[in-house]
Amino acid sequence: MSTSTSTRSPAPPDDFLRSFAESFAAALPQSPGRALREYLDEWVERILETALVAGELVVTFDVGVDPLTSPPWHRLEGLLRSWTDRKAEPPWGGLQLALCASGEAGAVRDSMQSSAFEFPIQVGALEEDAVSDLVARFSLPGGSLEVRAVVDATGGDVGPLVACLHAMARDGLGAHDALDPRRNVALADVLAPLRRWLTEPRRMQVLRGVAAHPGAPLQGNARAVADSLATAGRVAMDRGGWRLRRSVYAALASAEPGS
Amino acid sequence: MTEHAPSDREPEVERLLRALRRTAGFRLFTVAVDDPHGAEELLSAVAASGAVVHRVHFDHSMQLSLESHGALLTERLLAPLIDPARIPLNASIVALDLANALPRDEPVWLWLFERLNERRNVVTATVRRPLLLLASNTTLHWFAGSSPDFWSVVSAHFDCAPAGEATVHPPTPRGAVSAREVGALLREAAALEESSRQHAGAHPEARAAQMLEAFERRAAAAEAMPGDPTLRDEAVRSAIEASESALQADQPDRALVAMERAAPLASAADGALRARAWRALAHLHDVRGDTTRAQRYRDRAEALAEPPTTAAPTAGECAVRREAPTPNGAYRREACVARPALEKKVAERLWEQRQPTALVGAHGCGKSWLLDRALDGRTTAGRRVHVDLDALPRAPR
Repeated sequence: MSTSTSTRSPAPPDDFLRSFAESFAAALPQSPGRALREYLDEWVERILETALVAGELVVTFDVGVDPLTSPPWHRLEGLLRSWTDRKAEPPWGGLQLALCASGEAGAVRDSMQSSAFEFPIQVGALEEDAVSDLVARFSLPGGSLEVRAVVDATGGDVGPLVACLHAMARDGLGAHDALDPRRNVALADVLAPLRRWLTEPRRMQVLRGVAAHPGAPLQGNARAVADSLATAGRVAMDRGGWRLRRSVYAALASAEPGS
Repeated sequence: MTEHAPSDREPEVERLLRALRRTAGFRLFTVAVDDPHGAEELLSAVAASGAVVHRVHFDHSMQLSLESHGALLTERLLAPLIDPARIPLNASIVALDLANALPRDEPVWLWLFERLNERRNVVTATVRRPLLLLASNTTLHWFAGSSPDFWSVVSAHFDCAPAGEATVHPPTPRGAVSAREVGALLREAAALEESSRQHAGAHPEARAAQMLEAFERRAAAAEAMPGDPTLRDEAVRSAIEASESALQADQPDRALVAMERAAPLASAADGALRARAWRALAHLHDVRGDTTRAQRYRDRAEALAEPPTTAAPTAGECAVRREAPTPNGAYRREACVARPALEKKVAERLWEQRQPTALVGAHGCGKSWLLDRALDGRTTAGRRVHVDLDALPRAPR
C-alpha cells in the first residue's frame, strides 16, 4: 500500500469510527492492541491486497435508519465515498460496497441523499411473481388474490405478513381470518409487543383517534404523540391528516383479543 | 454419547461457519447439539476455520439446585458474558456451551435463562462478537420460553443434533403465564374435570361451570406453550367438552365463547380434531340462529373430512405446508421466494454499473438474502467482509 493512500484516510477518529475499525478488524485476521490509525491502515491495505489478488472485494453493511441519521454515519459515509471516488485508480476498482438499510423507505432515502449510496433499491411488498411462488410453494388457500389482500393489509411488514401467511399455509385460514388476531394466534403474538408499547394512554388514545377518524389533523401534544407513532411505523401523515399506515394495525386500536 | 455419522450435520456446520465468517459484531446464533461431545466437535470445527473461540462453560456432574449453585452458575456462566474484562481481546467468537444441561436440572436452567433475559442488553453490548449458544433442543426450548426477549434476537438456528432428535419449536410465551406455571394450571384443570364428573347428570350448571373453568386453564397453558401440540390438543378437546356441558346447561352463549376462544388453537390441531371443533362451532351457531357462520364452519369441517377435488397432496406437499416460515422463526434460505426482477436489478447495479448499492426496506424483508443471491458465484468467503453497523455504539449527537 502506498503511503499516499494511507494519508488520505478521512474523518477524524471518534468512538464510532474506532468501533467501526475494530469490528472490521474482527472480521479479518487481526493483531489486537493496535492504534486506530493502524487498524484503518491495515484494513485499507488488506482491501488493496485482496483486490489485487482476487480482482474484487465486496464489503457489505447492515444498518438501521437511526445510525443513518447520526453524525458518526456522515463521517463514515465520507470515508466510504472517498474510496468509491477512487475507483478509476487501480486497484480501487476492485472494491464494491453494498449496504442493506432497514427502516421506513422515506427516512432512509432522505438520509442517504448525496451519499455514495444514491438511488437505493427499494425492497418492498411482494411482487406478482413472488406472490405466485408463495401460493404454489406453500399451497396457500384462496390463491394470489387472498395473498395479495394480506400483503396489502400488512403493507409487507414482515412480522405480521409472515404470521398471516403461516396461518394460511398451516391452518388453511383465508385472508380475512388470517388478519384477525382473535382468529390467528400467531398474528396476536406478533402484535403483542406493539400492544404493550401502546399501553401508554396517550399513544393508545391517538392511535384510536387516527383509526376512527383517518385524515383528521392533530395539534399540540397529540401531534407529538402521532410523530412518535409515525417513527414506529404505525401511522403516517398524509396530506395534512393522519392515517394508519397499515390496516392490520387497526387491531391494536381495538379491544384486547378475547376480551 | 450418541453415535452418528459426521455427514449428518456437515451441511449445518458449513452453514454455521459461513454465517460466522459473514458476521462482525454481536449476533446470537443457537446451535442444537446432541451432547457435550458434539459441542466439542463443533467448536473444534469453528476453531479450525481460523476463529478464536472463547468458550463459556460450567463443567459439573452433580445435580444442580438453586440454593447451592445459583451463585456459582452466575459466576461461571453469566458474569463472563457481562464483564468485558473476562472476554479475551483476541477472541473472535464467544460460545456459551450448555450441552451438558440435563432435564433433571430444569428449574435451575430456567432460572439462569431468566437472569440472562434480564441482562440481554448488557450481554449484547459486552460480547460484541458472534455469540453461539450450544445446547440440546430441549435446553434451547427452555431458553426460548424463559428468555423470550433474548430469543427474539436470535439471528439463525443451526441444527447439528442427529436426525433422530426432534427439531426445536420455540414457544412464544403470552400473557402473564410463564412456562413454570403451566404445570399448576394443568393440575387445576384435571381437578376441575374430575369434580365435574361427579356432577354429571345431577347439576348440569355446576358441571358446565367447572368444565369451562378447566378449559380456561388448559387454554392458558396451551397459549403459554404454543409449540406443544399435546397441550394444544388437550385444550381443544376440553373446549369441545365444555361447550357440550354448557349446551346441556342451556348456556349456548358461554359455550360459544369457549369455542371461539379455542378456535385459534383448533386451527393448528390435526385434521380430525380440527374438523370436530368446526362441527361444534357450526352446531353452536345453528343454535343461535346464525346460519351463515354455521354453514361456513360446516364447510370447513367437510373440507377436512373429504378428499379434495384435485389430486390429494403428496407427503412432500404436506411437509412443505408444515415447513412454512414461522413468525419470528429463524431465517431459512429454502423458505424464501424468488424475486427475479429485484435480483436482476441488484446484480446490474453491482456488476454492470459497478455502483455502490443500497437496498432499503423493512427489517427482515429479505434485503440480505437478495444481496446474497446477487453475490453468489461472484465472491468467495475470503473476498467478502460483512459489517453490522447497528452493533456499533452510538457517539453522542
